[in-house]
Amino acid sequence: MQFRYYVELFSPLYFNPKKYQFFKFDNSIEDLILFQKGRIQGINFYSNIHSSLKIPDLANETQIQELEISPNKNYVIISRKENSIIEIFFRFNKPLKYEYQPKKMKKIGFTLLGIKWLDNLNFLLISNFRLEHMQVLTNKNGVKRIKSYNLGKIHGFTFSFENRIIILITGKNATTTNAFQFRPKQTIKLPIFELKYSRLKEPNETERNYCLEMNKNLMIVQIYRNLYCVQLIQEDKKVKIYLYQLNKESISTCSIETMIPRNKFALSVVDSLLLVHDMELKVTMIYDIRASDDDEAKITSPLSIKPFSINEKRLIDNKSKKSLKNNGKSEKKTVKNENNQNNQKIELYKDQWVHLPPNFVLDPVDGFVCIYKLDLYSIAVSITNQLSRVQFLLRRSNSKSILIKFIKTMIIENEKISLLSYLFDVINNIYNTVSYLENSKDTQTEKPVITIQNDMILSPKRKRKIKRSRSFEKKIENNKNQSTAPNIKRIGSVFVKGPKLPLEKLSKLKDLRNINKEKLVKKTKQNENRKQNQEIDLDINLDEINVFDEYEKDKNQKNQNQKNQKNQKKKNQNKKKRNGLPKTNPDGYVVLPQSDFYNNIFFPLFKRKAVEYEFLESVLTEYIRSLNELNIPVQVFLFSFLIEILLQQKKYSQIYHLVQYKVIPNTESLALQFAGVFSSYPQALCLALDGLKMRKESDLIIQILLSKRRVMQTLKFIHHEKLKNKLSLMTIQTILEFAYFAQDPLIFFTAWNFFQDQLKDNEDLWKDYQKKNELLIEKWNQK
Amino acid sequence: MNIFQIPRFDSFFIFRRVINLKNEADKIILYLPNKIPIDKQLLNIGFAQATIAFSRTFSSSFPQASLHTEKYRWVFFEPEPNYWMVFLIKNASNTQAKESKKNEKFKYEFTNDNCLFQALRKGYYMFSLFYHSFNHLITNYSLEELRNKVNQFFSFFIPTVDFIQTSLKKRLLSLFQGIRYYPLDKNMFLKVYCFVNMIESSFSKIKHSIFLYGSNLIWSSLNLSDTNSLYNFLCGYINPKPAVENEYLVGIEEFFIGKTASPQLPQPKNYFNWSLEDISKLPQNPDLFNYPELVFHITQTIAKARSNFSDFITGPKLDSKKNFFLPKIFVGNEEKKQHVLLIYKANKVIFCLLVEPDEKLQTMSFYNQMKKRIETEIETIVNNLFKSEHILQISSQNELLYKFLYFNEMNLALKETLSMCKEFELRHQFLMYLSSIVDSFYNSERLFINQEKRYFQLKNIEQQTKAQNQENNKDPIENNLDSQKQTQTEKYVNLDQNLIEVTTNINNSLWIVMKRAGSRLILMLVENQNLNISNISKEVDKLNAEFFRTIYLN
Repeated sequence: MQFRYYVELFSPLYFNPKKYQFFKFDNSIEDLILFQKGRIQGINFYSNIHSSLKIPDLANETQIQELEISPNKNYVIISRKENSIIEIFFRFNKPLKYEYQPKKMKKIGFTLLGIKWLDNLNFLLISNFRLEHMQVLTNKNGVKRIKSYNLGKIHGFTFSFENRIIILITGKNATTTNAFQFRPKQTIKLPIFELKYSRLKEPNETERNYCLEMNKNLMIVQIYRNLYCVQLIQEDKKVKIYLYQLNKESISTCSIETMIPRNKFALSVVDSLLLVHDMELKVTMIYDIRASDDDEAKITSPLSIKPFSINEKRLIDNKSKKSLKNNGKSEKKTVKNENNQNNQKIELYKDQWVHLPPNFVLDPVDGFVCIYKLDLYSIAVSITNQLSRVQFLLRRSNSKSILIKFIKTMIIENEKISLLSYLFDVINNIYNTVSYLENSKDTQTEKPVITIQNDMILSPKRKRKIKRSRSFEKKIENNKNQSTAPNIKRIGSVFVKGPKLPLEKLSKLKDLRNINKEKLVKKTKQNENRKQNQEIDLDINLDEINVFDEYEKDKNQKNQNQKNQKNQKKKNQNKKKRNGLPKTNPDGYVVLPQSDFYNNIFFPLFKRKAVEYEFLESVLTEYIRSLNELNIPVQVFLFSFLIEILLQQKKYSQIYHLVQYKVIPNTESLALQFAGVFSSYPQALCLALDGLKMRKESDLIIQILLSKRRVMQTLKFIHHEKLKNKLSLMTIQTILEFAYFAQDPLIFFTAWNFFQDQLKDNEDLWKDYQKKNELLIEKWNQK
Repeated sequence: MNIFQIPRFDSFFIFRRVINLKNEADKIILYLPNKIPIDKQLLNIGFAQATIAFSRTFSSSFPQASLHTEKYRWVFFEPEPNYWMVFLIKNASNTQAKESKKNEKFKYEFTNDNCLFQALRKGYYMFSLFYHSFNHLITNYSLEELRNKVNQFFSFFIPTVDFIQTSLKKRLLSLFQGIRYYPLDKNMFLKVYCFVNMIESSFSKIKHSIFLYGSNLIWSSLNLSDTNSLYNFLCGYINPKPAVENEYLVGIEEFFIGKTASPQLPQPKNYFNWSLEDISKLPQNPDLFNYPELVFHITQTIAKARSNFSDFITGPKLDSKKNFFLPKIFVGNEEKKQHVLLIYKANKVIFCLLVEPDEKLQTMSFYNQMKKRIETEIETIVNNLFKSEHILQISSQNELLYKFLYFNEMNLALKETLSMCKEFELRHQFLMYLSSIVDSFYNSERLFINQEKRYFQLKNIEQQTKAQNQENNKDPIENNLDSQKQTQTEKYVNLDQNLIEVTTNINNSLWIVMKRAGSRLILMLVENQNLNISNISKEVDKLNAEFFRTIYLN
């Protein structure tokens, strides 16, 4: 099967470009900003929350060059094409205007490169002469300069709102970078690094165009939990990607050679994959920086984006929706009609397309904003090497279901056990690392680890999401464990990264795009509150999340201190030799806990009899071996399942073998399972009783013996264990009932006699049993 | 002059009960030694048949039984309906030659019925592993074929049977035909288990496999009885223990120190001499291989093998690449199916693969493929096992402090440290007495939970006999016999069928504790003069705590 598309445009947000005097997509607050006749409209891409701001002063404005809205949408900064005065408009209090003219503004050759909001009050002014950190004074309706940075001539910059990092291109040849991170109470200067190559300004080129061009090639993105500055440049007739990993102490560089020959390209990042779009050949290539060079998953074959079409009706709808918004008409009807309409195909890879990090595309001609979405299944299918495929999927964020599907088919197709064994090792390595972190987190909350590097890696929002998802999973797993092993903490979780919301949720959110205004206002307020809280949390979260990156170092330090872990090291070395696996797998996002394996892979295969039991047994034992080797406590249900498979094959002595070598642990539930299979495998009863005896579960032993109607054995057991006086009257009565049920006067008499002391206290019972005894003897005599 | 003769093998025969026979000799399937005239053979068989028929009147199903006569010991076993296997052992004798008169006295107590019976059983099950059953050979082939195969097999098997168990250790070991499991930690075991599974799943023709390390079993996917038979065979020929020729002598001399005994040693290996020439003359049947051929093939291949040998023992012949040696065995739960036995040996590891008969087995590529697959994986396992063996040696030094035997009927697990200790200088009557207790332990009806403990103590018997010796100056053997009678009567009085613990003191120095819990049995020997019975029970508790903590006892 050939899949023709790996990438598609997803979740379009439409607007009519002709209607607005100015529009842009702000990727920091993820809002589409539309300006028309003094009215600024913001539509959030993900939540579809509309916000608007009326500025009567701008009613006739046509010269807007920059328009930046603060995250809380209270302030708007505008700069015009001709003059270099920045006007700031206030939303609340009184709608006021403040004009700010930077010092030396009149100096010849001054160009404003950009304005970037840091939070609700602070913003950055980037001009070709300096970088200025400004703050809005709410009380005075004024602006205060907090600090200015003179760095020589600035050619361009790139900014990441999430991490509040700005990278400025400076120096004579526009190759030196100055990077700053703005945190609430301090500003950190990151190490200076040299860009590989930047083109010089052409004689005819205007300063502004040159700077824009500079900006275009730089991008700050997060890939595999690390922050990178990505640069795309043409080298030897081929485009090369340079990745500068931003750390607090140092900058490390790596590069990827692309297959794109021309200098017309764009870059997006989806789910830690680099998407390089060749705008001329109209193809996209996907690069995975974690895949090794000889790995098949390193690069996909160049394919176009999936054809994308706009529903004409939809366009009209969009307009009508906006006009009808106050009437609160539902969207459902339009969605139904959608299929019947003629779709207008849209030209892909337009020159006008604006790519915004990480994966936004703005089409100014047809008027929509989209994100790129990967078709993971198609990509995975295109990778023929099973191992690379699974490893590729393991690195993705939303690939769990696809991964399960592939593992399942591998088992159905009787893939080589050695390969499956290796895969289990890889998967469980991640599982182990994550659970280790979860455990270490619990213990280390009091003493946050001192951050050395990468403290800007995840945005607070994401961290919270991860935290939430983890705690949720934790609860589920804990609940599951409670019945069997309450002391074991095993946590499986999904690391949500890439798009801010999982794509599945996104589509649901689409439906929410028309909500009443009242609700919207409420929501925006809530959001504001949340955001404020976030900022307070920022520092703590940063430290917490660093546990992840410090894991290796921390562990090594511990190793030196603890004698016991020497052995572990040795073991790990062995593992490395055997599997060539690293000790931890930081690439992993997808964690497949044991319950997933059981519920989604093993049990369905067993139930449908899709695989021979013998093969399933081999696969399951490989899985258990892998867990055991990594010292992960194996959940009881897996053993119970293994026993079931062996019983189906009538491999009775093998079950005994596994118990003997303590592969199958001694737990109550397994003992009861053994007791249950007594009819087909008599020795299982012995196994069950052995196990229970070791666990000192005498009540259960009595119950089991009685259920097999072994009254005499029960009595012997009670006598031997000296339990006679500890038994409740209820238990004694049930034993006597069973003895009576046997219809053998000898058995009944023995039991009755045995419990004489206990029964004599209760006269009624004593008489009752006396009668029964006589009855039995009579019956016996009649026979 | 006294001449003592130890029990001797007289004959072993297999016969069948057929009605309307034209020729009486037709009922003989095997008679060893075969030089005995047919009349004598028929006489013995007739006697056995008569005994069986006679005893049937008292018991509808003839139980495992033996017949004690003055000169001989008869042990019967009916493995299949109407087929009988009989051992005929000549009792030990003491000849007092006074001038020209010879006065020969026979001592029947030197042979143990149970041990002999176990030997018969072991022989039959091993035979049926290779040839299915007596009936199968007759119905599918011919009586002649059955006679051939039985002759081939038992002429190799009988010499391995130990007829005189002169030491406690030997007697116990011949009684408990168990499997020694190799102690491994969970992870290492899982590695072996996964390796076996991997090989089995990579070659669909492989149906079962057995994994041994030295003479210890690690994994078997066969059922228990098949595992036991194959295990016995493999341990017998692939990992043979160094034969101690003088063993008999040492044992006997220790018993009769100070006597002018000149024991005549049996030479079982000379009874049936098979040479290579004989084997090459054997008739070739594509379905049924010749047992001597298998034994010779294996012993020769192993003799040639170097220390770093890692190859098939059966399957492709090492010297000539075109020939294949494919012995077939019968295994299975309900219906026995024929499988080709391929034995792979790497260092101490013996990995047996039971493969469905297939044309592929006659092609070299099949073996090359399989060998490649095994070789890549087995190396790490062999290395790991080798390391674990070293660790085990250190840890087993603790075990040496205790002399014990552990046997579990459920998986036939046998563990003993008796072989690591020196032979006990036991008076013969005690040996007899002990084995009779073990017999009653081993054969008594198994009940899951037994009655209360009974302590049973034997004291001062040795002193009594010594005193008697001094008084009467009698022959010690005869004297022992008297005391033997005493102890035996005591046995029947004091021991019932539901024994769960017996503590015995011998010579005031050796304590023997036997304990049973369900299907598990522990026998422990403590050598200490200063211990009393309560100390001993503490010692036993210590042993339990150290080695059998995780095994439910009581």
